[in-house]
Amino acid sequence: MAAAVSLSLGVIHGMVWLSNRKVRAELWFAVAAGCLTAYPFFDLQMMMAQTPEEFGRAARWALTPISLVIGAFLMLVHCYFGTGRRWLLVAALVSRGTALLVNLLCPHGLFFERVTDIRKVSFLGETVSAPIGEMGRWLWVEHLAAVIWTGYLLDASWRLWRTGGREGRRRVVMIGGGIIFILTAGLAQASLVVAQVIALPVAVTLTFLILLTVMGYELSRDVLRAAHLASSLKDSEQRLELAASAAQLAPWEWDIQTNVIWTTNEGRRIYGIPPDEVVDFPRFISTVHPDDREALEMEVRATLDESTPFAAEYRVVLPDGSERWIGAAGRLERTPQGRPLLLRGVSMDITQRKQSEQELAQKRQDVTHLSRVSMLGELAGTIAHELNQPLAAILSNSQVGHSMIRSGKPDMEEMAAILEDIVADAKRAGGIIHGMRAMFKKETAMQVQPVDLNEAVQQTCSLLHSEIVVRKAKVKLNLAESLPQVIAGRVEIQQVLINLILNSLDAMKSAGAASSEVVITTERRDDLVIIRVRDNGPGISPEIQARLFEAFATSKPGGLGLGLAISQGIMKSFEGGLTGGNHPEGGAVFEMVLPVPA
Amino acid sequence: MSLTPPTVFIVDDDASICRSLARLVRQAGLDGRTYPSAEAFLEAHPAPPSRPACLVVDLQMPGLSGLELQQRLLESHSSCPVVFISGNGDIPSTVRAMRQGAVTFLTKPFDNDDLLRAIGEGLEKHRATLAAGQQVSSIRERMKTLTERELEVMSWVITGALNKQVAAELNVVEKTVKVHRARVLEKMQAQSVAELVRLCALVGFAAAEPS
Repeated sequence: MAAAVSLSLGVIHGMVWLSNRKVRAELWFAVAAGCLTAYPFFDLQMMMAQTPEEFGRAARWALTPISLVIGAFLMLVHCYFGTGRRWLLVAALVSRGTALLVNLLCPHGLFFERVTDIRKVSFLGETVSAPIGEMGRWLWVEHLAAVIWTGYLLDASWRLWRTGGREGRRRVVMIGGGIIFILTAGLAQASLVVAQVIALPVAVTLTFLILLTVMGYELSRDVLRAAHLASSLKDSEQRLELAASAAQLAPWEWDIQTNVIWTTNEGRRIYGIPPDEVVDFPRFISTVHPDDREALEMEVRATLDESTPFAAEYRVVLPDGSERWIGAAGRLERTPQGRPLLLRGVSMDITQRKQSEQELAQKRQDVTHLSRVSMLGELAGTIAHELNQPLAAILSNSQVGHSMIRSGKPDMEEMAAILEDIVADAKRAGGIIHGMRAMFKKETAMQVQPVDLNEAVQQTCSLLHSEIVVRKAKVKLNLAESLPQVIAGRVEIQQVLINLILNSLDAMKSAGAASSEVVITTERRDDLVIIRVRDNGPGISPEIQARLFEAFATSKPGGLGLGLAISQGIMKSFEGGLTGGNHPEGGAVFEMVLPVPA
Repeated sequence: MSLTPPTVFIVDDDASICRSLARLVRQAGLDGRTYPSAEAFLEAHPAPPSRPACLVVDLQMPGLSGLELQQRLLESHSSCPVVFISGNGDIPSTVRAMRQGAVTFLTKPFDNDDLLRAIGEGLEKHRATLAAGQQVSSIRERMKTLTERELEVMSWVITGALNKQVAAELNVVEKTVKVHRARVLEKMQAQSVAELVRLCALVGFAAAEPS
């Protein structure tokens, strides 16, 4: 009967393990129960033994399933508690194996050196055999093994007791305590019988059976709990789906190995994919706006290669041709071998947010443009002068050329020189007008492109040349020899520069500085490119300093106080910055900072 | 008058303007010289020009501006006329330039004929000034040959006083005054007392005060 109970418990837990291979404890429990199935036969054999030899043989073989059971228990505790020291486990298993080996080498097992006689004792109303013999020489090996595995069990239990919380403590009591108590009691009983202190059969089947039942109950609780979890998981999945669709979030999952993308109905709706269509990665990419595909694919590749969290914003073209902005974020899961397994995340329709962002950007662009135009308006006089220089030279040169021809004997060499000068001056005037038109032109969006900052500084200074001359100031350029290009709007960078230079000129003029000098330096510092504009004016007053970049903060009579606020906005839109303060040696110093593109 | 053509000094920080104006001036048969800044011009010509010349100056230049150059010239008693050219002439600058005796003020871009006319006007003025200056110095030279007594007599003669009156004033006989007067007229190369009066006025020689 005991064998039948063990076997059925073994089979049940073996199947549980088969259904979920992660629960190793179930496997070891099944092994233990399976081994225990064999034991009652030896137990019965011992009890029914008629000669000492018969008893000795049975006792010798009986230790084999017992050893395996103990080994399986140790593994079970190792898996179920997860707290034991590995080296102690190995020592326990090795010593257990050694004891079994010694046992098998002795003719009557290791408990008895020799079974000399059989006596009949009464046990539970039956008359059964009990051995009489000399205690085994090697019994200490069995005891040593017992000490080691008990030590392991105690250690693992103690550690779980300290760290495991309530659930862990219950495990310790039910499993650890049970195993230790039963195994120790069984061994003690066997030893006492062998030592003939008490006259009982060596029947340990019953004690093992009690232990097996307790542990079976304990492990079944896990199985029951798993079933309960599965049902509540389904509930919470439904709740999640409800919440996701209410929040217009579309969860998705891309199985990278099979290349199948799963998503909810909401997900299919926002990507414009019919409900029954099977979606793979190329199909998904085909929904994305052609202009956004490359960036998206790069982001996916970065996630697959480097496990960076996936985050992207892109446009989707719906079957009816309309566009929709999607924001998506996700996380990669890998196989234990490190291969990409699953990309899981959510998508969201962010069209409205994008639209208001674009409207905001448009307004900012308008303000920037307006301030640029008004700034250029102030410079109109000197810019006209700048334009008049080449025009005056052209007019004068062409009149001279004309009268040379009229004189009938033109000096051809001089004529060539005149025409060369006219061409150069016309180009110069064209350049000024071109630059002005770029500054005045109103783009719907910023024209962001690679910009050589040294060139931008030089162009700005030539545009301001007359203004600087009229204001009797000097501008000194201190340009770095090799400066990496930055990604920015050329016109906007020039606008910030003009603003800073004019501020400096105004400050120095109001202070009546004897020799106004603006020094413009470009340099690279680590991953940044810096344009520094420094003047030798009176510096920034403390009351303005704190509100320097706020709108409507101004120290200039008649100033609106928008220049620096707008300039800082411009620099931030290029992922850079604008800072300002006083130089320790006097004057104000402003730094335009832009990142070097990766 | 020497045969070398008058000089036009062109001061502009814009090299192209300098070249085109130099061509224009050379075509008009004048000697054109260009300078990139007022400082460069002053360094090359510390003393006022002694021959007919005209200055064509840009109003706005780094360093000394056109107006400041004009100021320096006035301070060094240079009579060289100045023609201003500017790409952006504001009224205050124009007024100041004209008040400081500029020939004219041209706004770029200007017609070549306008500039040549202004230069011609300037040269004419300078020529006259130089000529006046030469006459004054020759009168001064002549005055240096007069004795103390002759100067005294001249200061009386130009008041229009008769020999008799002069003699009374100087406590000498009338005949002596007559001799002095003849010598003064001769030394001053004056044909008449009226011319003597004009010469004296030119050099600012004061007439005597009747007591």
